[in-house]
Amino acid sequence: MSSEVVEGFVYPNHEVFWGVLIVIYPYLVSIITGMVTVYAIAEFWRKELKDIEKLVVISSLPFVLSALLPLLLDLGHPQRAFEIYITPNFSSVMAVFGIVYLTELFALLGEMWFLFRVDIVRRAMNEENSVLRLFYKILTLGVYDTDEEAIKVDRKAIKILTGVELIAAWCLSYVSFLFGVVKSNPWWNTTILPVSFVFGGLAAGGAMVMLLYLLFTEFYRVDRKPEIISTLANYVFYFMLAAFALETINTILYAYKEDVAWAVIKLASTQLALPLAIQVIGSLEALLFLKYVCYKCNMGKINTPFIVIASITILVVVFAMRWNMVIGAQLIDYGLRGFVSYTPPLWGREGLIAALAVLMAPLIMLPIVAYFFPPYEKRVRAVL
Amino acid sequence: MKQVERSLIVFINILIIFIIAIFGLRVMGEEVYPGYADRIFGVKGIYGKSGEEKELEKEPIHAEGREDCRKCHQEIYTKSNEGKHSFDCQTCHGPLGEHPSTDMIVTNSREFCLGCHRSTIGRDPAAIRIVNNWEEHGKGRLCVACHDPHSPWFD
Repeated sequence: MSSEVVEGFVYPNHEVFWGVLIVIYPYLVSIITGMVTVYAIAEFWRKELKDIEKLVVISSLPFVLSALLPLLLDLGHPQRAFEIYITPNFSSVMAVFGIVYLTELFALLGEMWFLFRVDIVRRAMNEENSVLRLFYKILTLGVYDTDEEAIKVDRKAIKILTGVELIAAWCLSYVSFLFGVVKSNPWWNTTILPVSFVFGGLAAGGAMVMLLYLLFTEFYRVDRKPEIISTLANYVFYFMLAAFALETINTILYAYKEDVAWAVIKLASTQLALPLAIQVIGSLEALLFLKYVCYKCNMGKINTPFIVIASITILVVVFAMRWNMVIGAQLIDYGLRGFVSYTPPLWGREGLIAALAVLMAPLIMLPIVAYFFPPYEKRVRAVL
Repeated sequence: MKQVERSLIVFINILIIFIIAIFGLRVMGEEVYPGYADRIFGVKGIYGKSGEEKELEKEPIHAEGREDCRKCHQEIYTKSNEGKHSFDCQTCHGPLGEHPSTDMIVTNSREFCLGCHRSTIGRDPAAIRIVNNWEEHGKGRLCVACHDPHSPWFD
């Protein structure tokens, strides 16, 4: 009896394992990096951004909390979610993420506590709702002094925690390029990638802060300050420019050298036509709009629709960048003998609906955080 | 300075809980003190196994291969051996599982066949039969309506 078994491979013999959820994961992480960096800029260099520091801190908390949501959905087994923190493994780059993430979370929580301490004490004494009063009383940790000395100490603690948080956030964004590099695709196997992706993340975070600034000022009826928008837009402009320029230079270099990566890009661009187009055209468009917004704000006018367009474009562009890296790295066969295609399903754990829910999660959490720690005092418009 | 002290106390308490959890689990496991938990509790290390191992242990493995299928399906086994589809039954039918008591899953859709027989860049036509005009060829019908999956016919 012959029992011949067909051996060998049918190329391309792989599939796309990391779907749209793994795209969202570095995306959220890079938004956190950007927001924390904006906070550090406000804390250390730009005194005119002091006005938005509470806003940035409370809005980065929901993003930090939901950063692990896509991973959890992708891997399943939520009962094991806690194991990453209590099984540190220093020989695995991915496992170090747990340590960096916890550092980031605790630094952010500490920073938030010191920043809102005066508010917490005030509300612990004056709150009418007894449950809320108890909540704030527990949060004060029994410290009620809010004199000049104590506030000075608070500021010092915030400065130290911001430094820790900044380092942690930049380390955190290394996971975003790890997802490209791990697949060892020649396109993404480049030393310039970490820098380029940190800059992309900074731009996305800054754009998110701009959007949230518009939203919060609308909700709390606070006057918008042109110099805040101008400074933010200026930073976002240069971050975006750096990210775009680095990627473009890299690609042009590949094309000039006729590198193996150029073959990969040529193959992949058939499958990634839309995200690549979004990345290039969107970057240029966002840069134009941002410079115009800056110019207008310097003259004291706030052009709200243009700010919204620029911010949303940057958020979409950075999402497209992450898509190109995570999905693009998996499309090409390692032997360069073909490619697979990827279309995310609509339903299911890895589907588009789940992805949208994960993307919306921080924005749903934000009002809850803002309810307990309002960034501004709500001003009621006088009705005559 | 009082607030800094208080917040540090809270932080250090959280840190201690984490460190206790880490070292507690390590001691229970096999990584740091191999066999330690076995000696104390008389059981295999609670944390010594990875999550996959724990999951896999629950399910007995049932992927015995084609020789196991032969016990009952001698006819199909012989037929398949002589034809072009002389690979393992699991390739299309999946692992055996609890088979005699449960039904096997048999997919007979066009997409399932085209998973291998569609033309793709780099797929070698010498190794595998490629249906280049699959959109027209036998349109609207299942592949298995004409081709016997156990011993497919070729011209």
